[in-house]
Amino acid sequence: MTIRQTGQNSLLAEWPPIISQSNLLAIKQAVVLLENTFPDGLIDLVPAYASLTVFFEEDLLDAAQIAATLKALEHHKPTSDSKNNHWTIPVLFADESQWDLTELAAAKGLTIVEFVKIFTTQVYLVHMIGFLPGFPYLGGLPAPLHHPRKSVPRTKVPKGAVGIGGQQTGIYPSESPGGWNIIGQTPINLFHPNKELPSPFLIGDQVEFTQIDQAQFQKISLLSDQDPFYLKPDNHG
Amino acid sequence: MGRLLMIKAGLLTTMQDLGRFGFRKFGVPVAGAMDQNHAQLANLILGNDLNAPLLEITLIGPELVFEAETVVCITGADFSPTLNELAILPNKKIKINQGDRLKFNRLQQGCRAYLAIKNGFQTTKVLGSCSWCCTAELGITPLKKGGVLFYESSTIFSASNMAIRLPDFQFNQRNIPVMKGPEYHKFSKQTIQKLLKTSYKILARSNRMAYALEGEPVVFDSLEMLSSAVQPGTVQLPPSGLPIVLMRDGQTIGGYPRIFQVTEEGIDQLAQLKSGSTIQFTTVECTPYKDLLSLESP
Repeated sequence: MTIRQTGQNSLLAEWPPIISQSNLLAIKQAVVLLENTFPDGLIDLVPAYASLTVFFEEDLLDAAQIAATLKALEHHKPTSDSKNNHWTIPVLFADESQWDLTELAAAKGLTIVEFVKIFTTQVYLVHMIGFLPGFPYLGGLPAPLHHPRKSVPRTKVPKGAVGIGGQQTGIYPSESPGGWNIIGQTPINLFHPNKELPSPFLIGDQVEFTQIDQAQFQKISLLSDQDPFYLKPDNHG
Repeated sequence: MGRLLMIKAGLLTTMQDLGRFGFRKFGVPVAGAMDQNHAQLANLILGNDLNAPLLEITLIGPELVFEAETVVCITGADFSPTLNELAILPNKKIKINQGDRLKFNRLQQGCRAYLAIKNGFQTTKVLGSCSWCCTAELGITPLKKGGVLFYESSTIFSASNMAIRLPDFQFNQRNIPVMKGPEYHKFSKQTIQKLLKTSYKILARSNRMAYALEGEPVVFDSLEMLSSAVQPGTVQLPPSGLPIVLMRDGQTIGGYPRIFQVTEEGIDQLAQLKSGSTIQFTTVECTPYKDLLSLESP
């Protein structure tokens, strides 16, 4: 782990530059440790694939104090016992021709049915949230589905779009320009600015996708619009 | 409750406070006043909480009518403001009577002005802040002609009423102080030297999210990196070789190398520069910048 100050009130801890479960566990552990050690003085903790940026109140904490706390972690093997939620996200995979499912399945030598089956059999992990408010970057995409981003990004990707970008997948919580290959759409609202926690996801959470049809899409869309708590974790065991 | 009527809204008049904190892990930008220095000064002069909601006025100012007594303060860019057609001073408490008309006129200096009101505007918080964010579309939308804002009317007006001058703030400051960014060390000396020697023009598409720059691009070997946190003031160097400076509404995570970090003071300076202005980055040895790995554990 390297730790550096990156601004007047921020420091950056970095792990080996790979997308891995061990990085995710270590970063999650660092977040929990800092939150427990410093109940006051932390402004924001921003986890990413292989880094954690800490924004702190200069009056209350200093960088060396935070760095020393993080350094102590290096001698602990990360454990996977922290509490994480499991979410099942319903997705309509029907390919309206403007999206990429048909093309992507063909490029991978798969039928759409095979493609969707591989995609929905996997359990994904939330590595970080960013780009857009509530956009989860999900790791664990099976290698046969890896595909580079589009060379020319779309000016408009719809709210709820599920995309593939390289070895990652993710969900657009709001309409936005975007370069990922769009394979489907969820009717669930994934960003609620008026809730205390605006996004359901935290790093380390597990996400699975389940296929729905057009009628279910309409129904869930209405329910999700009416009830900000429509999506509930379905934690096993 | 007093009402403030928008006779003219101006180009981009938005509600701001010091920003939205605690939600960057969910991808929510910080937002907040672009020039935090002048926003805080306006509230300070009125004896408000420094985080009290106020208006940020950009390039073309509004024309406003107050329906109740209060006290206001204007700081930042100079729009030669008038109250009932009489010139008023910035950085000073201004007594407002019922029916007074406040007009922001031609921009003389700077880019963004702040209008603070006694006890702050009455507006709703979203995720702990009243700041409008252009990228996440949080907070009340920019003001429109015919719109109304609310405030507590106040008849208290103290006589201690000296105009305060900011001794060290320079409008039109072209040299933008930067610290080393996280990927600074991955670039060659020549690349860094070139970046520091180049004069950049701020492009018209620059906004609260980012300042886009024009100048002679640097050529460098592409640098693969995993997306990681960025913050207001982060200078990214995309493959085009032209740096981008993230501002208050910038995203929380980015995938381009972070070559510099503009200091807080530097962000405030940038906030007062219009598109078309030229800037140059200049490194400052920031004492807290160090490799903390070398620290001994206690």
